[in-house]
Amino acid sequence: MGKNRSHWVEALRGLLLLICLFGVLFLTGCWDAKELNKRAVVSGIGIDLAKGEEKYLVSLQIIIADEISGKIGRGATPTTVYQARGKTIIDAIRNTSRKVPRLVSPAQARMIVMSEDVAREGVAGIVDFLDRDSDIRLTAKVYVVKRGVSAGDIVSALTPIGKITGYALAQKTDLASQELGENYSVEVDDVIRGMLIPEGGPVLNGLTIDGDVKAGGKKSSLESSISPGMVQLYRMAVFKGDKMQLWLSEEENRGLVWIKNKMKKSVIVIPSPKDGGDISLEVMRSRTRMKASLNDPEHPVIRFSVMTQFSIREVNSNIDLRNPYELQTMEQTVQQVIQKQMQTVVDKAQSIKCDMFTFSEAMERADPVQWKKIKNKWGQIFPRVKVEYHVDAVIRNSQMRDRSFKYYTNSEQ
Amino acid sequence: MLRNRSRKPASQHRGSDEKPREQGTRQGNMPPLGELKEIFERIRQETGHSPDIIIREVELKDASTEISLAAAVVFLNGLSNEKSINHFVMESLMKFKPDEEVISDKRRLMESLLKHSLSFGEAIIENEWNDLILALLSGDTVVLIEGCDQVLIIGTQGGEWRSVTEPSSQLVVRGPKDSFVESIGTNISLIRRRIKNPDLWLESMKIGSVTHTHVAIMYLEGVVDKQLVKEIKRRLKDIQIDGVLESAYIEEFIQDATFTPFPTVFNTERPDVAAGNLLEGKVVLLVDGTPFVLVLPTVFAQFFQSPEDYAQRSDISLLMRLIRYISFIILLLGPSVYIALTTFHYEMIPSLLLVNFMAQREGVPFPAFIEAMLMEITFEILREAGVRMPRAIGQTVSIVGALILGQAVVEAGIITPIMVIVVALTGIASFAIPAYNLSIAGRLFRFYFMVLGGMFGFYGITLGLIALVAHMNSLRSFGVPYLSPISPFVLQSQKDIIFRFPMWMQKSPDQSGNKQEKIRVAEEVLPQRKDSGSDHNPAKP
Repeated sequence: MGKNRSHWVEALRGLLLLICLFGVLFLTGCWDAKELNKRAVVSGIGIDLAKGEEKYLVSLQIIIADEISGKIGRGATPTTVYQARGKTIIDAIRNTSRKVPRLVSPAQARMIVMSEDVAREGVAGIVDFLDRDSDIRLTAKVYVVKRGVSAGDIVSALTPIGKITGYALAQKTDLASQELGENYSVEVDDVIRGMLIPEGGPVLNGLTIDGDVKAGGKKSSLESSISPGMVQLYRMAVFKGDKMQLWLSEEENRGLVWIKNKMKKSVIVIPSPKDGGDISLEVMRSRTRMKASLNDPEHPVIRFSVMTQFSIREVNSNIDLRNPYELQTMEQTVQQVIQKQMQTVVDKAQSIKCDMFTFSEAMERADPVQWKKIKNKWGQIFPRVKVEYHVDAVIRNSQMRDRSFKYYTNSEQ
Repeated sequence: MLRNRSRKPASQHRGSDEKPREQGTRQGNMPPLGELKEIFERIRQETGHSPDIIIREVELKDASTEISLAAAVVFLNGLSNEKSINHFVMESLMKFKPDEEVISDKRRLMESLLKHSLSFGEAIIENEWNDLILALLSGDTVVLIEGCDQVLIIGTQGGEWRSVTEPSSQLVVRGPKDSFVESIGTNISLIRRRIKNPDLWLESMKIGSVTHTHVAIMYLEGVVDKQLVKEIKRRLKDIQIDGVLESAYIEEFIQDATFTPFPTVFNTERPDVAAGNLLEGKVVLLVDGTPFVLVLPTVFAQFFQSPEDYAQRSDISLLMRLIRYISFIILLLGPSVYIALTTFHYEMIPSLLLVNFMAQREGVPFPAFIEAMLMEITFEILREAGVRMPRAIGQTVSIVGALILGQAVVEAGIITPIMVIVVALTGIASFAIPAYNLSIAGRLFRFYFMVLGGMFGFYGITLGLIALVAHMNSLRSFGVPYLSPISPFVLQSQKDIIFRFPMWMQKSPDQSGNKQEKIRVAEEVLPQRKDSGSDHNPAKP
């Protein structure tokens, strides 16, 4: 009987301990618990330059969930923009709390937009904030807005497809890089990595508004089938260090995409070898390799070898595509086009002494010992780097037809 | 009807029988000697003059020798098979002609009655009073002869039992459709019918100082670990309880750890499951009066095995088993993960889903944790009410509860629709687990995780999971680690844990049993078996 009793005492003691421990739970509070209806979820951040001591004007694109999928929407815009000024970005964001009733939560932001003025002034502080903040993802995409349009305009613009502009823009960027081949998406970590390139810098996507700059922010813009102001991708902006240098041209953009091995699809129009009509070739597959050689450290050489496959998409010529000689001629033409695209961007980079292609990294990998010798004077050496191109283009198919119907109309004549 | 009637336990249960309370009103275990009238009086007195005790006096008379002898047949109306009493017992007695030689020696007379005259299979001579009463109360027939200190006990147990029907709680699509019933004799026969082997041994004892419930231990000699049987018998003997009405009474006494929501003894109402476990070298405990038999020892993974697994193709069984494990995880963590995600880790929710969640949360007054608690408690109320609802109104309540309440609560803006989905999912997941007692454990732990998730997010859930796994690792079922063969990992035993290997890849039953014996009764485990046995059983003297 005595032992039975001790069991009960033991059990009771255990239970008491458990109750005490459970009580401790309530003493802690709930740490950083925040209900969803107490958060203002940010989908995009726009940074403009303002005059005065509070030099940054930050625009936060905040999702109004009710208007997107709730039953109790008021028919307002799906996102709203809160703006505030501050000495730094976080200062400005904190200043928005005068207007925002909920906790600003930027973890779901996919779009970080800077105006060209901000970019030209230097973005080191901004990028440090993006890197340091525990909420903001390193996969958020970073853009520069062409002068004439402010980051606030971009952030407040509405899009017909996709209710949240920030997310729609991220999709636009991915799709354009996949289908057009004139840009590639640049995320926060790419920017940080780009800034670490010696004598180089990141290359960011540009943005602009096609049409009326202010119209895009109005709900009425969604009521006409041709949007009066649509956010669209512009060319890419080249940085040196944390300061923007210039916009690339479209051809240079393509060259950059080839060099960075980001080419997925792109259309190249060449004249027909037979009658000079337009023939559109589309990249099916492509791979670019960059090799550095430092045999003579004072005159380093970079070799690009591009291997691409093309498909013929549009023919306005009576060319007979069954003829391999014709195809070979076309292949040679397209090789020259690609080489020229690459060359223009390399020339541009060398002229502004900005190693945006990570030549330095290729050299360090190829020959770390020699690289250490020239590392300090890389700034002078970079413009002198000799670049060799070897482009290998193959036309793989001509889609559903070999000859255009034009071939027959011509032969009848 | 096959019946197990071992006479041995008479000496076994004596220990627990001789309680002071019981002896006060009775004349002890004196042999039934004396006048028949006195014996009748003693029986009547001890049973409180219960009218269902039938005492039928007869006279054994030989017409030629003019010898006559008073005798009596005593049985319990309703518990005994009256047809066989009438046909065999009474008739044999009527026709019995006592020899002159034996008439003086009543013991020899009794023997002669048993050997020469009684046309009944199951009969035995006893001379202890307690056995007489117990036999009587079990439905046996007692034959008394004037002047004899021995009685003849004839196995006429019978009476009304529920017949063997389909199992009600452990259903299968394909597989045997019979289930245990409340009669231990029937239950033993159902197992014996499946394993026709002399090595299928049966031991029996009576537990319960008042109910004298018949408990049988079944095992496959040669496959089973002898030490396990010994330990089970030791624990069974140590039970001090007045009544055993369900096998759960026994389960609570013999399990290793008392304070855990996890069942460490497996139970089944299916004879095929019991037989399968016997083949694996496990011990089956049958308790009279309940269709649920106990299987010892058990491991966590066993609660996810369904007899269906062995009736379907092995690849399909794998899928079904995985679904059960996933269901258990959903049951444990469903609401807590939702709470943690929405209140702590909004960045982990895909953006558009987050927008959806936010739109739903807009205008809902409670925090997610309170909301989840409300819904889960409502669901538990519905379930609890549904279990003991009269069948006629059960449907009404389920419609009111599930459909109307669920919809109304969402439309009133008190609960978010997603929470209803989460709660419904966990509710359904709890039914996907084959073992009801494990699913209850999961339901209990769900609240524990909800508190952790609501207070600390995934951090708390992770800590809770670590604590849970540590607790489960500390559990033993008769010395066998509860999480084996996953932890400690035993490669050979993986063939029927998460995967169900094809039959031909699994070892033949005998071999697997031997293997398991070696694995499960690993040396380091054995000392703990003794410890846990004495530590966690509060009923130990």
